[in-house]
Amino acid sequence: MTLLTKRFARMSPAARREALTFYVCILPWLLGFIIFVAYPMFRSLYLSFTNYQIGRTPIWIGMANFERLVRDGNFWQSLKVTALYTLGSVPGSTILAIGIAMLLAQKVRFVSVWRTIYFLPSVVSAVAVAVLWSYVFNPEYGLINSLLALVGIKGPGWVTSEDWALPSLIIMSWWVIGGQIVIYLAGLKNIPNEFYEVADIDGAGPWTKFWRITVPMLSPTIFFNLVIGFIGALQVFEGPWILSGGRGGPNRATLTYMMNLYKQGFELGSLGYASALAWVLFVIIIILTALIIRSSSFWVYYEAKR
Amino acid sequence: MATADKTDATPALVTARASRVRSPQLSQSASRLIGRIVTYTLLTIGAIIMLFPILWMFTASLKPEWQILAQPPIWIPSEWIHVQAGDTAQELPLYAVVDSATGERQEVIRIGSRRYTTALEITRLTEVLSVPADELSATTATDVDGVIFNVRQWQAGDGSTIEVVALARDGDNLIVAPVETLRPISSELPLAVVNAGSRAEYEINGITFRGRELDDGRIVVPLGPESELTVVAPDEIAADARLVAADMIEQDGFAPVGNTEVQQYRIIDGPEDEHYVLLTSEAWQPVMDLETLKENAFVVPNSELSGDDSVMFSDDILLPVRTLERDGETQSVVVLLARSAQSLVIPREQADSLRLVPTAKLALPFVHTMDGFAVRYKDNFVQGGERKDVAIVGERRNMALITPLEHIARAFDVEPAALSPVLVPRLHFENYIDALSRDLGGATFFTFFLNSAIVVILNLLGHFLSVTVVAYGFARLRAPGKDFLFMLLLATMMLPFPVMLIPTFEIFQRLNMINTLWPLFIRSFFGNAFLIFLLRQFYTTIPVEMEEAARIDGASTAQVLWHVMLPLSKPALATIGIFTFWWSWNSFFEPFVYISSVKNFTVSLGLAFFQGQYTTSYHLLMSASMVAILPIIVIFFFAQRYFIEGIQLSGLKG
Repeated sequence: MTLLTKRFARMSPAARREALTFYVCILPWLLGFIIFVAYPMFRSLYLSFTNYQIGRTPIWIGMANFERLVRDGNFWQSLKVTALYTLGSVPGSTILAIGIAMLLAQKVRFVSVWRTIYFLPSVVSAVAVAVLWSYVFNPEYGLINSLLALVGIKGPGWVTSEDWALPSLIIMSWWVIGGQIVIYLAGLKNIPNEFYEVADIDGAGPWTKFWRITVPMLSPTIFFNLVIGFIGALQVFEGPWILSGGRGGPNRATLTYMMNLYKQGFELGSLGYASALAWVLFVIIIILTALIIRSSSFWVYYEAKR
Repeated sequence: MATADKTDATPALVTARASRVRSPQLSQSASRLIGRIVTYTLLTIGAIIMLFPILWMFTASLKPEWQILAQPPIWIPSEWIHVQAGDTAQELPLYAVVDSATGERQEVIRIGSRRYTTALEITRLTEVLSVPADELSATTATDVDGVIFNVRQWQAGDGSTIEVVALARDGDNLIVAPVETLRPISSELPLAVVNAGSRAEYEINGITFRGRELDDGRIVVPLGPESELTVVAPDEIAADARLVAADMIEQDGFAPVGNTEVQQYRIIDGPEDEHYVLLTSEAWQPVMDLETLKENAFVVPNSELSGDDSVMFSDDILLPVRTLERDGETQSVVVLLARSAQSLVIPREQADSLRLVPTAKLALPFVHTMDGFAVRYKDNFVQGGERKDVAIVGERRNMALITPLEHIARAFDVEPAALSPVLVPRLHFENYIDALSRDLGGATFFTFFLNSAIVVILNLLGHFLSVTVVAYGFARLRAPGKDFLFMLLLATMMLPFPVMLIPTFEIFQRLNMINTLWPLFIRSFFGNAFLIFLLRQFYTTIPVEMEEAARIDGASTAQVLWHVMLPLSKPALATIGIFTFWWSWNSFFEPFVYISSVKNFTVSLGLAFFQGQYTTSYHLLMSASMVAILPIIVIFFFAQRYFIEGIQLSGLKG
């Protein structure tokens, strides 16, 4: 603070006025940041150490929420479900998106038409996607099992089967990759064509070109999307909620972390415990992000600053 | 490009030439061609996977309910042609069957089914074996020259495998006989014929077989499996169909019809030689036009009614006709609904529209109240192509729909699988009306649309007011601490919302905003980190000179923003508007947390709620989904560019 006032004192009147204008301009965001970001973060950290039922006052109970959490079967189940979902959804959709983006980068005709088609599922709401797939996955008259029946295969029970419910969610997530395709396509277009031309002269095959040029040049984009993808997948809610009718079933097979958090906080009214869950998720996300960033020095290639 | 096009169209020609000439350039162009074919094939497969579910959703939204459940699926929304049964309100579904011998297609009506079983004439059997059950495989239904047997494999002692059929149980052993010995003495018999025989026992080698003695003296053992054939007849039979009370007919033996037999009926107290075939037997309900009822029916105390209860309105319709005495005048009235003290009646001459309809067609009725009398009614009841609201009156009754036997001389039986519905393509747009007008607890989808529209508009307003100004500060103005604040702004983009969720809920609770639309838009007036970043990036591409020229003319910051920056930022503003629309239209979790009463639901929330209510009414669910996604799809098609540019910016940081 004193540093700031000192700097202000040294400024010219014009610069001082400009600085003031800056603060006035960003005031809405700053207020919003304080009220809806900074305060809630600290508040929920505090609440995670309290017993706080909806409509009551929070009572400090120390680590009790976290001790409860370690013994809570739903917590571990939801963590397992979310981890499996993330491990299925993120790498799968990344590979698919890069693959499709690479096809689109082959100077195909009507790129915008293809892009529109691939982006369409990503435009509609997660709720509509889940409602649609609840029909597609219907074991008796859904699209998938109807098509399988036409070739004489009896399809599984999908969302109604304990073994197939989570894979169903993962498959559904692979359908919504339009955003990633667009990003990877733009990333691929940024790779200078000369790199490939030089490689051609050196007689490099497509495989070598992919691993030696495409992947390194695309790695910053992949890195960024992986981080975003992991953060998003760890918070998945709408799909499992709709497909399991809000129950996380069958037999908790689709009880994701956010579903458990919502149930604890808003169905059972334990806001303190839910805050503890939220902070544990936050810490998991921070650790995971840090790990990806740490590992990035091994596989992300940054062009030397020019 | 043009030549590339040509080679695309004629791949065979090019590869052929390439192999003949064997020049390195050509083989390279051939491999490039293969590459292109692979590329387009993969892209097409991917596109089909992307589009097919959406197409499936669209067609399902236009299908009638029965078609949703049809297996194998009927892809094109169609109407199933029905034939009116006589002058009744029943309509019989029309099936098509193709004669396997002549290939001739015929349209038919189902008149019943016949179950058959494989029956063994036990008296002609000579040789049986007793085999441990665990040496036998499971059964497989196998057709042996027109007779179906439950065949099992038996590993005989000499290592050979024999196909056998189990006939009886003998402790842990099964009594079996080889299939080939059974075939000449077995036949497919109607189950009804077998079951009509008297119970009989027969012994071979001390083992008792339980069977039936048929009318012709044969003793048979039913071996199964049972198979079912559907008896059908040409559609003319529907024309002479008539309705009688179910207790007025009795079974009177079987009549041979074509290559099958059907149960025949006669009317009790009717002529001995008149026989009928039963088409359907089900509950029928008296109804009358709701309009007529509203205009002419009235409530009277039961004390004013006299006369014999047993007088019926007609043979078919069980409604009491009684005499009403009022002000010295008497009047004959039909009692539509009766309670202990009062009755709803209608003058007999106004009761023309009374008729019977199958109860199954009256599902999901509504309630209309008349002087405290609750009258259930079915809206838009279709009869003879006419839509009318009909009131449900009196009591249901079991009725038989019968048709004279002489009309079914051309009846025959077929495999159920050989029948297919007779369809004409028709798009059932009424699903949309149905889905959108469903009362979901005090609100319909129109309410949800209105709420979503309000939220979207206020979010747009909030973002345009806040983001444009904040982004300008970050793009153009210098101040101590700016870099730190900008880093903070970028950091908030990555923050997971759950960590802020509960205190934010608390704030809105304290502001009494829970279960209102306020929490869904109020924060947009404080800006949005991603949109601020997006617009700030755009602002920095605008040359500073343009701004300085305005400054020299004495313009204030607000004037510069309004007259210089915003007009030049139209594409970025469009992106902001579209993203705002996109997010707030599709948003689910926040409305889900903050809103509890149906009348405040947004479209996404309403769709999820609708799904919970009508889990498997997929035709309605898909109509509702189509409507819910339509606005965003339309915007996407017209303003794709802005979606793409915004997305690219979000993903290509660094």
